[in-house]
Amino acid sequence: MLEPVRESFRSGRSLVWSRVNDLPDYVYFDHSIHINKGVGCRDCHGPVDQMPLMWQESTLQMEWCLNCHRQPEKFLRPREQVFNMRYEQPGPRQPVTLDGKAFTSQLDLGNYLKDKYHVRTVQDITSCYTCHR
Amino acid sequence: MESQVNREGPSQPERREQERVSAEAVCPTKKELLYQISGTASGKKQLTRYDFEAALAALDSGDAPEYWRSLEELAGTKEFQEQLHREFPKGASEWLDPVSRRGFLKLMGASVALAGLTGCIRQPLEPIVPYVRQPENQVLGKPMFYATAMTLSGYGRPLLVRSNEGRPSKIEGNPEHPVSMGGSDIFSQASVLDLYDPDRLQTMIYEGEIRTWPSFLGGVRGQIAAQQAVQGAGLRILTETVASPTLAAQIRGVLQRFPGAKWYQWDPVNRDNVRAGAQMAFGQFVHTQYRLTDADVIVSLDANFLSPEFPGFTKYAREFSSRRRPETNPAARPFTTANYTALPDRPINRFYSIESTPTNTGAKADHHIPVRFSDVEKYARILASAVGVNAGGGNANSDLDGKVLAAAVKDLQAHRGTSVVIAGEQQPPIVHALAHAMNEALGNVGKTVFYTEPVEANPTDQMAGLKELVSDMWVGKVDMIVITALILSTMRRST
Repeated sequence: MLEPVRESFRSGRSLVWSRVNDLPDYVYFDHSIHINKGVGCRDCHGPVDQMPLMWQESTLQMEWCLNCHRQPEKFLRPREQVFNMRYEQPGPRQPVTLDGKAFTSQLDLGNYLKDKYHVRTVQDITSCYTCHR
Repeated sequence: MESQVNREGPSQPERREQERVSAEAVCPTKKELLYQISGTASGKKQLTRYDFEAALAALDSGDAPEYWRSLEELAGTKEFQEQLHREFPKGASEWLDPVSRRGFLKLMGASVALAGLTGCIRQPLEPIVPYVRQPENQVLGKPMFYATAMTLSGYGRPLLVRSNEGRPSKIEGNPEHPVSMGGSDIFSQASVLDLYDPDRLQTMIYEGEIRTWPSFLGGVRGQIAAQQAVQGAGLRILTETVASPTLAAQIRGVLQRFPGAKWYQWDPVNRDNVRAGAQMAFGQFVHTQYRLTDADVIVSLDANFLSPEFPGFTKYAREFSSRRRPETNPAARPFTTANYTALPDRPINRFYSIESTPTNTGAKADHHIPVRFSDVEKYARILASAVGVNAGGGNANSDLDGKVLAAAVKDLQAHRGTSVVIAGEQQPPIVHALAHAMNEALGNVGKTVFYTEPVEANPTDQMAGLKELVSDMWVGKVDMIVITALILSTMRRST
């Protein structure tokens, strides 16, 4: 399975990876802020741990981005759970505990996290300049 | 990498055509960039073969212009005349050809395509190509800083270059170097663009065509053998001012093997006058350095020592400004850099400037005398005679000048050992010799003025050297001439 890597090392030619999730060049996208503010990997990239070969799960259209930017409380999760592929949003039967509090609804948790992680207001993160610099 | 990219997207050839046509409309150089990225056969940059015959014919016919900057200009070919008269190169005029409705829509579509609005559908494939062997210490996204130097007329300027994944992006002075202390100059700052110069040679070129290194070796072997037979009598080496000991040793090695060969150095703006002045004063070439922190009085004879042309100017600028502080309170405003502590216990210095053109340095002068370039020598003689050098004396051009000169003399005499007289680089050798004599008479040597071995590996009279080389070439004594890169780059830019 690693033969391409060994071949690349021997010949000195790089492995050419195809870029699956790609945004147009006129868009400024900062990956780190999404991870730090509690956006899970799976929310945008899909269940990558179950993909035999990577595919693009979401449309990556602007309207898809805005869907979350307009209501981040519906999608935020605790930072510790960002990499967790099996994470489920809190519900009446599966609470999510954070800072000693048990949350049973995503909206409660989302609003709490918006405060905690200093997520900017909807007006800020849906302004044109945020992405089209 | 280009061949491995499999560009997806609708109507690929048509898309490239759209990009090509509208890119030409945008600007000719963008066309070249697009060609390099997409690698279309029609767009591969063709290097034109130099038309030596036409140029030689022009020389022989006696019709040639006396000054020319490129072989095409010398030959006076029709293409060159045409190029002179067209404001934009030929490629751009295709835009003005009568365009059919279909063509117009294609062009409009192309500009939309370039604007990227078709990005809504699916992005064209952008491969990620990682390093096979990543450079040491590199973290992708974090810049690396390299300490390096840039040569300017032979003198190295210490620099710190910021490199993002191997792309140099910003140049600063090296803060740990005692000469620059973090300062840089306009030439160093601009030199980052040199690294992205599209005219920079990337391959070996022979008469306009790309060649390989082995073919160069093969071609030159015959010449070298012929030169060996005559002890190198027809071999000449023309370089810029060389201060690098390594390069100088290598060239001397060549001269040892070919005893008849000669090495010339040439810089268009060189320090011949400085060297000749030192020769006149000391009988040998020396390099003069100043320590302006210890100077209470500075007299400049058209010396632009706060400006990038002057070797070591970053140090002089810092030293000069460290003495421009009026406070005598030690607690006030410590001047903190790596190599300088506050000098508030010393009084502010006084700077007299005699100069022939408005300069940054003169703007900082406390007393400023503007004179003609040729009169600087006269004023230097007046100053020198007044401080005890046998220089002939004279009269200033005006009463005011005379008063300022008298004041300068008084100051210099009151500050023996803590003053300095600096002569301008381009002033004739006698002015340099007078400055040396004045510094000696005032006891400044070893306190504010220091003489060291010449920085150039082989200080020569460059103008005389160039004249000798050219006259040798005219009579046909020169069979083989090796010209080094820096001179060649200035020649090539003018072609």
